[in-house]
Amino acid sequence: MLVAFGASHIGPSHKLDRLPNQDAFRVCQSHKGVCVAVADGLGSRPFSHIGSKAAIGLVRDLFQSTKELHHSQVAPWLSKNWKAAFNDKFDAYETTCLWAWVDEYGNGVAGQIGDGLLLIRSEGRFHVLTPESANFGNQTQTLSHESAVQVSTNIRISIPGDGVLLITDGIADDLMPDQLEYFFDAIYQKQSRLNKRQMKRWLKREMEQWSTPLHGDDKTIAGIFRVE
Amino acid sequence: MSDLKKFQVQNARPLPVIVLADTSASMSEDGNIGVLNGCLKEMIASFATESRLRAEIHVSVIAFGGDNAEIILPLTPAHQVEGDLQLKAEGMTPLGSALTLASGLIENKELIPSRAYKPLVILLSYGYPNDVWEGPFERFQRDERSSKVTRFAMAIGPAADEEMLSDFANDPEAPLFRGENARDIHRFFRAVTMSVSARSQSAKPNQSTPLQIPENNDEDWEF
Repeated sequence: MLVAFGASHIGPSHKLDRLPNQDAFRVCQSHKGVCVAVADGLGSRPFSHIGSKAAIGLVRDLFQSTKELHHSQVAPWLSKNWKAAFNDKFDAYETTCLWAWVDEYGNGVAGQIGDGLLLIRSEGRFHVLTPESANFGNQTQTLSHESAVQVSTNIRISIPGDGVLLITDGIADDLMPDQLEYFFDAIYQKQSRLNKRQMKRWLKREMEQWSTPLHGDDKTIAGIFRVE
Repeated sequence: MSDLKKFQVQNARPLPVIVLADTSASMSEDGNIGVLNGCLKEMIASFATESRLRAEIHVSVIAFGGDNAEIILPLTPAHQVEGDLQLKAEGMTPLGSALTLASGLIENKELIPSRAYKPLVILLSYGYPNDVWEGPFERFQRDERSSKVTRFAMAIGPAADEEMLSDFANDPEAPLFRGENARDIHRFFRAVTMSVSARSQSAKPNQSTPLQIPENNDEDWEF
């Protein structure tokens, strides 16, 4: 059985400055399968919380449409339609975006433009799909640059324990690189014991209790797992 | 109790500040080296007492005088810096050597992890380097990570080599600051301290804040 989940929590710095959560996420299930998306609006842009919501809405639209795009055509489609949503005046709305969807058999696509982390366990093997970055923290490419796609791939979630996790940089930057597989497993183990609502509550609590000193960024995670 | 804490980094994100200080013999004029030592001490003390709201300021000082540049202070959290720096003015101006050391520091992901905020590199000099500096400067501007840092520069003295120093300064909010004397060195450091402190407390620590040089009639600059 495929299950999808997600949660987001505003970062302490945005809360302090009375700014909205600039991250957004979407989880949707239909006869076509399961889809998740996360987006992280740029802190330096005034309406990036609107830009991030627009991005995840487009992922859902594409998933639910009758279009059958090759994985390499997803990023250009998202970029083009996201810019069009703002009549090509998108500078104030810049955002990153990570997406993944699979059909009922677990076959699908995943991709990423901008920072964050895309983790997958496919046919029992764990992979960090996001390449190592030469940027510093909070320096990122955005959805307006379709050529900046960092990950674009077909995915297969075929056996129990397989899954895909999408994480914004508020979480990704504070995870120990050598612990990513264990982090993935911990999330899977929790999801296999909780229902959707309990999972969301647990994730929110974990993000509220984040322990990295001086952490300030919004935090968002979403994923799809195949469970027993 | 958190189930995910064991996967989380337990160090704050650093905001690296690297000072490239000209300690050639020219710096002994007008007591400039003494003022530079005092300014560095005051800046580090100020960083150490910041509330560390968003980022932890880490400082490194690379002195270039004599035959080669030297890392006087390895990158260290400001609140952990112990003792005073006692830079001495002597010899030539090996800027190329200093840039090579700074590049090595910035490109090293063990010392400056990818999660660090964008580093700030501050150059104070009379200019007129007399080692091979063009190649190291070109690499500094081109290399994967050092090309992304913010660079401030101060030209010391009326005869300073402004062309080279202007090329170094790359932040539109902070063009080359031209100083003539010890008081100007202090004004520059106060502006840098305020700019870095503002970044460390901002919700957007990567975003530059304008370098606002205090008025020349400011008092309270004795050490």
